[in-house]
Amino acid sequence: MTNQFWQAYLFGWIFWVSLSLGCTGLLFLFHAVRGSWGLPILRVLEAGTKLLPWMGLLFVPIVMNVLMGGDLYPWVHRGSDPILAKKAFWLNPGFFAGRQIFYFLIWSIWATLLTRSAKSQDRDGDLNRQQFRSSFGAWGMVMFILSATLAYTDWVMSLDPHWFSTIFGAWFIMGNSLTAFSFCTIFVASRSLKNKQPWAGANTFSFRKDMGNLMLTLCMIWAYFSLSQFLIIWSGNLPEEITYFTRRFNDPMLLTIGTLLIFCQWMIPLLCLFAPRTKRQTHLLLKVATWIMFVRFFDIFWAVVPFFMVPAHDKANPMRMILEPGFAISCGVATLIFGAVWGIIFGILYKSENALPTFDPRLQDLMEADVHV
Amino acid sequence: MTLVQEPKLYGLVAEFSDPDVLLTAAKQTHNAGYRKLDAFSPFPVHGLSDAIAFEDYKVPWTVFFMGLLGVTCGFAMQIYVSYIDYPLNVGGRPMLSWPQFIPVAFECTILFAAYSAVFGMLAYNGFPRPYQSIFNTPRFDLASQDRFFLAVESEDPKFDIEHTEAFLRSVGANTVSIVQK
Amino acid sequence: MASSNALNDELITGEQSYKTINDRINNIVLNPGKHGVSWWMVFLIGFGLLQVLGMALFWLLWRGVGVWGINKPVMWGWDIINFVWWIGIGHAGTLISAILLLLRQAWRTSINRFAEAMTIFAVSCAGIFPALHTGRPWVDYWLFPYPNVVGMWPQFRSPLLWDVFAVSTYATVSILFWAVGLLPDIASLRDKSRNKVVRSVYGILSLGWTGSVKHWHRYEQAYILLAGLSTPLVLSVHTIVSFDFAVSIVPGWHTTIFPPYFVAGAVYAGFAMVLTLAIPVRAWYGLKDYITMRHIDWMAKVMLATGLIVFYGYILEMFYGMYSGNVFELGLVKNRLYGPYAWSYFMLLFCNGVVPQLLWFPKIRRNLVALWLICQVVSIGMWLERFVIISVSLLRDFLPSSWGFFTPTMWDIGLFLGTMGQFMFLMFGFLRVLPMINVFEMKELWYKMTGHHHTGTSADHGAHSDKPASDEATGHGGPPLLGQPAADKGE
Repeated sequence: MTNQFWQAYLFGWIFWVSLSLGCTGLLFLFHAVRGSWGLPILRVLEAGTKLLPWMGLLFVPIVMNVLMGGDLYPWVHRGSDPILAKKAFWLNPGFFAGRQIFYFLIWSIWATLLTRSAKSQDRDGDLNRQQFRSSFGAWGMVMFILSATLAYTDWVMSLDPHWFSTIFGAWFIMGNSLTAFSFCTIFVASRSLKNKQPWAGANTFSFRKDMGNLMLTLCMIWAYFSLSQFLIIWSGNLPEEITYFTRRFNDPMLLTIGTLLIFCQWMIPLLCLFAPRTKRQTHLLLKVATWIMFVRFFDIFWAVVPFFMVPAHDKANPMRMILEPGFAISCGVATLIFGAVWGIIFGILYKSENALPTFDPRLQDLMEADVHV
Repeated sequence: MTLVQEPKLYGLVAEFSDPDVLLTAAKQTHNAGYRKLDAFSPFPVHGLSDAIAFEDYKVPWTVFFMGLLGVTCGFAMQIYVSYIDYPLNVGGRPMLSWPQFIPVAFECTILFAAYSAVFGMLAYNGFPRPYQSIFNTPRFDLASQDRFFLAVESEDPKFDIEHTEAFLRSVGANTVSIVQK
Repeated sequence: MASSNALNDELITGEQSYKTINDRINNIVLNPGKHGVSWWMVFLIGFGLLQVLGMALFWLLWRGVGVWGINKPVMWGWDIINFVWWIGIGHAGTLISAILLLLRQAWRTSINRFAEAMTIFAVSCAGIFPALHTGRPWVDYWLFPYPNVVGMWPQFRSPLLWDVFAVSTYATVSILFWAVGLLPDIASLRDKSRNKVVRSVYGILSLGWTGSVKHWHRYEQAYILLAGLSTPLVLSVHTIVSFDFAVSIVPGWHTTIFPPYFVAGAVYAGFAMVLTLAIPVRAWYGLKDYITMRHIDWMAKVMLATGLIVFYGYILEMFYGMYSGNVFELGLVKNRLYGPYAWSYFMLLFCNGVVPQLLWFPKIRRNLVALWLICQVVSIGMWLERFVIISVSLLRDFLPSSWGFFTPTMWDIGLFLGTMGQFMFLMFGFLRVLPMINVFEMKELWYKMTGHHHTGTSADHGAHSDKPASDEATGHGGPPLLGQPAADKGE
């Protein structure tokens, strides 16, 4: 039972840290390429990123679980498994804990420097800071993609210590960006519908077009990465790898969710976002973004929770694993609790900011141009 | 100006040297009630088709339905070949191994859709059509270089050589010529 | 004005009008005097190497694929490496013409025609290799599903067959896209030409294009749809090429990151090739006003970004090789680092991982000689990447008793050089007969850049056509680079 508690805890944490990491990745990307799409949502991304130290703090119990020989990560008890012996150089409790400290430190420091620089430029208008963020953000992207790949290897992939897939980290990074974009869209659009300033002003047609198109692209990339991973593993049918899909396909509930995800996270958003009308009307875009965020939960659920399946003790099929419905629900509850914590900290971090950056005149231009339309 | 026999007349063609003038002129001509209009430019001028109220969605719809046909044919062909006509066990995979049919079905979709986009566009535009009356316009070779033309066809109910010519001059045409079929 | 034109500045420099754009690009085709010694030099080298292709083909067809270095266990040698290399080069063309169109990147306009031609010719070179590798190329039509009396069908569960569909679709759609883009330009050549024969040839090819707004309307719909179709297509092609390897279970091939990593590698190699050609050609033909330093800088940046993705792929391959704990994956890591072809792996890391990092520096991105040399290194690096993935993985797979070695023969080299000849021959032949820059899109870009369409009234009739772009350009990022009007030598 206690192990199920930690499993639900880990899942709830992963969903929300993924949103924070999505914000971090987009923050680095924005500063690296200076796209005008990032200006209205910059403060949201910054606040989401600033949550990382807090999320790191919430990860401490998991690290303690690993260090104290808990059952959450099966590789902690290596036994006589020859494959795990070969993986011990990476999957050992001490190095695992050290890596976690490294990830959260480097992400937080890097993001803090970028955030400070943007805020300082808001005050002093020093153009050199832009140059600094541009190159620092580009290097940040390189650092971030590598470290996030490794982080998801640690957090999720190693839950099944024999399984590996090289696209898995990139799959999560892309999915996180999708979550983060839909979150930012919800944030700005919902406030704009209530006519709250300055978000109502920042919610220009160009902003909605950017968000809509970026979400559309990321839904496509999600589908592309998922299909690639599926087709390669399914065709290879190797015993170490195929377990990922046999677990998910042999359970009726998971099979249903997985099939629905094709429609819900790919086809439906695709058709909605192709229509120009969706991007023209704020309430429609808000609905699509909310839908995506909602479906993202099931996607991450489908990717993570089946790692916690237990043997079904089915005599006819001794390989069968099941996911207990009660446990699945407790994963959902854990997500809600973590969501509340995440939301409160986010609110505090966001409040302490001026809501829109002023260092880039393009935002003002876009907002003025939209008034005249 | 002598009138040639009515059916042999294509219409009046005005020449402009600036796309913006053409755009405004086209709008004004349409607002003045002319309906059988055509405009010619060396590059697509944004808003010009709206100006003469020309809208046509045959190409996108053709592409959409041909794409659907493509994906259906792609899957149907593979299922027929690998499942119905000659079932073959390949490495113990299911006979109906649909995941491995996705790539070819996808390529068929694109192939059908792309063909229909190009040949649909050509067909709806009536190409190839080497001879067209508009080529009789003086200096029309410049329509593909740096000049812009607006044609009012003689079939237009409002068409009247003198009035229309005067009107075209009033909206900024450099020259207006009578063009035969 | 400056901020909304952030992307458009410096895309066309010098004193320009619709007429100068039209004449300068079209005259390269219509005026034979435009083609100097350099054109003849490259064309003749290409023609010479084309003869090598002929000999290599003849000998191969006479003797069979045994003339190549392929053997057991390395059954995929230079032929498949070169196939992937060429098809990858082609991808930059589609990326520029389709994806950048969808992203509304105005800088694609001056290079898309050229890059699309490169795509088609690169695919034509790529297609030669797998067609010959079948061993009996005269029955290659068996690859296509057609009803026949022996009831024989292709095997749709094989990625090699997916490749047949992907590459043939890609070739078809690339040609369609290119031809559609050419239609108005051919009409423009038809109208500009004063030579009767030339005029009739272009006249027939132009299908009677008039530039009617009704035609443009459907034309633009079809063009954007083709772009929308080509974008997933180009991703699918290299994805399927990567499936050729990844769907098998050979260590070093069976890797889930392969699809995006191959696509990035393709774009990387493709941009290197675009720059390799564009840097000399823009100088030889005085096109510095149309292919500006802004374009070159952007292309270098795309190379840097895709190069980093490729490097990410190398890191993942190594890391997960070790992380897997799988004895064959570990064996592959060892084979790459210490095996007989370890030098090729380290060369690869140097060419694709280390050298492109120079592109972080703006000074190097804008130094044409350095950039051109980096592009050559990248082309070599991308060739080595395929060599390391394809042949080096096969040298030593599962059973040590079946390990082997691979050495190319002169016929491998001859065929590769021959396809390079074919590429140069076709590419420079193209420069001679068709406009290498999309003329109508350049005029459209000029129209948008001059920005008069917001306020268009009959009052400013004809007034703006000789206004230089630098009005807007200077508002953002200083004076245009290389902004001097290039001397138009041919007139």
